[in-house]
Amino acid sequence: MKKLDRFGHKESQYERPQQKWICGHSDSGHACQLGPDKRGNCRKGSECSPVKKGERWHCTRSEIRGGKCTEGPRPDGSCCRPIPPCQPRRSLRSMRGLVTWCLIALSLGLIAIAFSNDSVKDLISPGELGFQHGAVVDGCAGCHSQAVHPGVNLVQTAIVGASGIEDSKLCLGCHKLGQESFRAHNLSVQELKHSSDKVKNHLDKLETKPEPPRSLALLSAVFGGNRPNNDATLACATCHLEHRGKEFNLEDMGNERCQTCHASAFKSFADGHPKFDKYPYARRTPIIFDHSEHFRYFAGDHKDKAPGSSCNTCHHSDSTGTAMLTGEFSKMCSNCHVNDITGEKSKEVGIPFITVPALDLETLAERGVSVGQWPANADAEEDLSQFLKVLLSTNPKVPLLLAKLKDLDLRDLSEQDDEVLAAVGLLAWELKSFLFDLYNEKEAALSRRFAALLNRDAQFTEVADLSAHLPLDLARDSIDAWFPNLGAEVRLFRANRAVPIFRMDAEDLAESESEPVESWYQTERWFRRGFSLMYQPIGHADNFLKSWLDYTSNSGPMVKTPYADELFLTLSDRKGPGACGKCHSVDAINTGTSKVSDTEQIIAPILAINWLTNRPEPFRHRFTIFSHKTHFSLLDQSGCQKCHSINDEADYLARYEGNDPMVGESRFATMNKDSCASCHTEKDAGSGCLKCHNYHIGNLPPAAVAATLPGFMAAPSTDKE
Amino acid sequence: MSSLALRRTRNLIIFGIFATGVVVLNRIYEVSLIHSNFRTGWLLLGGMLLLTFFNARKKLPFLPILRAATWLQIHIYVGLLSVVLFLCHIGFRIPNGRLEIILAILFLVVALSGVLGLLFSRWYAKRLTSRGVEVIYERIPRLRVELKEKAESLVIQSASETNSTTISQFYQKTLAPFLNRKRNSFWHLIESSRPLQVLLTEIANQDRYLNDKERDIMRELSEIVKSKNDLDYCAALQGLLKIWLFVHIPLTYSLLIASVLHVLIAYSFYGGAR
Repeated sequence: MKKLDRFGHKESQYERPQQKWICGHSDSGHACQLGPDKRGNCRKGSECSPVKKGERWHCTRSEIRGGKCTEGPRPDGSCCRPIPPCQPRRSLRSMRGLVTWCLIALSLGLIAIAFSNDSVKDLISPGELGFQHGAVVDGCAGCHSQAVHPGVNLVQTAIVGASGIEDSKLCLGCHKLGQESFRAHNLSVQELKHSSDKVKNHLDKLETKPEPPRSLALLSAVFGGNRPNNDATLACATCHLEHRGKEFNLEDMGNERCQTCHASAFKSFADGHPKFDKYPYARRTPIIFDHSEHFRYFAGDHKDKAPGSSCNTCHHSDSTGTAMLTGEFSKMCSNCHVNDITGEKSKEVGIPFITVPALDLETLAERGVSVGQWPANADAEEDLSQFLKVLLSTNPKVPLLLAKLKDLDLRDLSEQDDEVLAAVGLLAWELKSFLFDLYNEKEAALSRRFAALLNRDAQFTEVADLSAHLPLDLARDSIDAWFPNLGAEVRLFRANRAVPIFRMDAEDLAESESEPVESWYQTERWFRRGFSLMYQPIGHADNFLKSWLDYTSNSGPMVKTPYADELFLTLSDRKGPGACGKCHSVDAINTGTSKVSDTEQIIAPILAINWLTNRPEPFRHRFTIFSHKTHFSLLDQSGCQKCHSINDEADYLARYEGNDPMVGESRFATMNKDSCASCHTEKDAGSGCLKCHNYHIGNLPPAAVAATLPGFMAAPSTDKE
Repeated sequence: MSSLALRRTRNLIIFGIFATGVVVLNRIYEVSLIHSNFRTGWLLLGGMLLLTFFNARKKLPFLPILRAATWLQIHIYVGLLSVVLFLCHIGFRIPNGRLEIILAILFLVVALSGVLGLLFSRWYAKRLTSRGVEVIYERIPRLRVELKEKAESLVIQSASETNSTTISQFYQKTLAPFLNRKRNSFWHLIESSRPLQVLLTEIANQDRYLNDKERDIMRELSEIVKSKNDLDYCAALQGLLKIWLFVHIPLTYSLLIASVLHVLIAYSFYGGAR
C-alpha cells in the first residue's frame, strides 16, 4: 500500500484542528503558514518571514514548502513570494460550535415565543385528558391548584411545589367521596386499623401464609415489608393518571399496586386470595326469612299453599342485573302470614292503646287518697298501656311517679305507705286529665302530647299515623262508660278543690260488672274491650305500628324516654303485637365512642328496624361488587343453589336474637372461592382486584350541579362603553 | 482473554447490574404507589449533565479529572444507562404531550446518534486500520490536490513525449472528474470497491490504444487513481466519524433546555405523590 501522507516535522505541516478558522487555500493545498486571525480575517501572509543576519536578509521557507527560494527576500526584508489573500473558512469544530449555539438560541427562542401567548398551555400539557374530563375541565387551573398562569408562575410554583392533596381537593368539586376523601378506601383511620388488625389476626391463624407477587416481595426486601399506613393521605393522582389520552382508562390499576398497602399480599385470585369468609352472608338479611323452614313446609303437604316453585317466584334481578330483589309481601307471604299481623287467629285480637288499670280503691279511700270515681272492675289484667305511659310522660312528673310505682300491684295497696298512695292518686288524676282533654279536644289533645314528645309541632300526618284516626265517638263513649263524672271531677281537681271520695257499694259493683266487655265501633281498627281502647292492625305495612316503631326507636324523632324504649322493644319483639318483629329485624348501629373528660364513653348504638329487603342503593359503593345477570348463563340444573346452597345445620333464627347484624350463621353455606376462580383467571374472565372490588367505599352521590336559578342570576351589565 | 475484552466484559457486567437495578427499583416504586418519575427524572437529568460534561472535559484537557479514555468509557456506559432510565421514566409508553414528544424525540435522536457514533468509531476505525491508509482528515484536500497535480503533469508529459492525445482525452473525460473532488462516499461507507473496479476496467480498456510509453504513463495514472480512491475512503469514513457529532452535540443542549423546562412544569403541576 502506498503511503499517502507523510509525517514528521520536516515532511508535513503541523495541523491545528482546534483553531476556529482555517486558511481558504487549505483545500488547494497552499494554505499559508500564518493562517487567519481569531476573527477569521486573512492575514495575507507570505511563504516565509525572512530574518536579517548581519547586513543581509535570509529566506526562512521551511523544507516542507520547498526550502529556501532562489530569489531570496526583497531588500526591504519582505518575502518575495506573497500568498494571495483568501477567504478563511471555519474549521469543522467551529462549525459544530456554531450549529450548537444556533440550536440553543432556537430552543430558547421557541420557548419564549410559546410562553408569550396562550398556546403555552398546549405545549406544556403532557397529553390529552381522558374523555371524562376533557370536555368539562376548563384550563389547567381546573385541576391544578397553583396554575393561575403557568407562564408567569412556572418557576415560582415549581419551587413552592404543587401539593397533591391541594390539587385533589379540586377533584372533589365533582367527585364527592365523603368525610375521608383522602384516606385509603375513604375509610377512617379507625376503620382502616380495624381492617388491618382483622387481616393480621387472620394471617396469624394461617399455617401457610400466602406468597406475595414477586414485585411486592422485592418491595418487602427493599423497604422491609409492605407499608400499611393507615394515617397516610392519598392524592387522587396517586392512582388516577391523567393526560394519557382520551381513551385511557383512568381506573387502570395493577393488582400489585392495590396490594402494596395491604397487610397480606397474594399472587392472584386463584393463588392466595383469602377464602370467602361468610361472603355474601356476613351480614344477616334485613328480613327474617328461613328458607330451609319454608322449603320443608312446602315440600310436605302444603304444596298448594306455595306461592311458586322456583327461586324466581320471590326473587328477580334489578334493572342493572346486579342485585337480586325480593318480591312483595302481598304476593308471597300474605296468604299465610297476614293473620299474624291482624291477630285474627290469636287468642285476643287488638293492641291496648288506652287502658284504665284496676286500683285498690278501698285502701285509697281508707287512707284519704281521692281518685274520684274509679271503676271498681277496671281492667285487672292490664297495667297502664305502654302507649299511655309514653303519652302521659310528656308531663315531667309522670316518669317520677311511674318510677316510684314500678313493679307495684295497684290492686293491692294495703301495704304501701302514704307516699306511694299519693303517687297512685296523682297518676290516676294524670290519666283522668288526659282522658278529659281527649274527650273535649280529641285530636288536639293528642297533637299536643305528640308535640311535647317530638319537641316540635306535630304535623297532621304524624298525628294521623300515630293515633290511627282514633274515632272521637268511640273515645267519648268509652270515657262516659268508664268515668261518668269525669268532667266535673277534673274541673274540681284542676281548681285544687276537694274531689269527693267515691265509695263503692255492692250495687255499683254489680252495675259495673254488667258493662259489655267488647264493642266494635264505627271502624274495624278501633274497638273497646272492657276498660281498654284497642287497636287492631289492618294488615301488612300498618301505618300505626310502623310509625310508633319508627318514632320510638332511639334513632327516631321522639324524646328518648325509658317508656318509649320499652314500647319499641315490645312492638319490635318477634312475638309482639302486630308481629312486625317476626320478619323485620332490628339492627344496632354502633356510632362509636365519645370522649368525656378523661374517660371514654360508649355511645349507645342506634336501633333501627329494617322495613325493607336488601335493595340496591344507587350511590352506595360497596367493597365487593357482583353482577348476578352476568352469571345467569352459567347456572345448571341446580339453579341458584349452584352458588347459594342451603345449610340446614345452621341455627338461623339465633342470628336475630340480638341486634348485631354481623353475628350468627346464615341459612346458606359460605360460597366456594374455587368455583369463581375456575373462570376468573387472568386469561379468561379476568382476575383483577377491580373486577370484584370497589376502591372508593361508602355512600358517594354525584356532586350536585351548582346551577344558579333564573331569578338569582346576575343581571347583564348595562354599561355602555 | 485480552485486556480490552476483559475491560469490556467488566464494564458490561457493571452496566447490566445498574440497568437491572434501575428497572427493578422502578418496578418497586411503581407497585408501592410512589411514582418513580421524579426519581428516574432526576437520575436521567443528572446522567445527561454528566454525559454533557464529557464534551467540556475534552475542551479542558489540562484538568486532572480522569483520563479522556476513562471519560469516554463513562460516557458510553452512562449513555446506555440513561436510555434504560429514559424508558423507565416514560413508563415504556409513547408520550402524548407536545413537550414530552419533543423531549422524547430529542433524547432518542441524541441517544441514537451516540450509539451510531460509538458503532462508527468501532467499525470504521478498525476498517481504516485494516486498509492500512493513514491520513489526517484535515490534510485530505491538500493530498487530493497533490495527486491531481501529479496526474496532470503525467498527462502533459504523455502528450509532449508521444504526440498522442489518447491519454489526455481519456483523462479529461474520465479521470479528471474523479480526481477533482471527493467521490463515491456511499460506496466506501458500505465497503464496496465497485466504482474503483469500473474505473480501473476503463483504464485497462485503453491499453489497446496505447504504445509502450503511454502504457507506462497509464500505469502510473492507475496508481494515482488507486491512491485517490484510498483518500476518498479515508475522507468518507473519517468524515462520518466527525459529522455524527453535528447531530449529537448540538441537540444535547436543546435536550437539556427542554429538560429543565420539563422539570419546572413537572414540579408545578404534578398533583400526586412524589
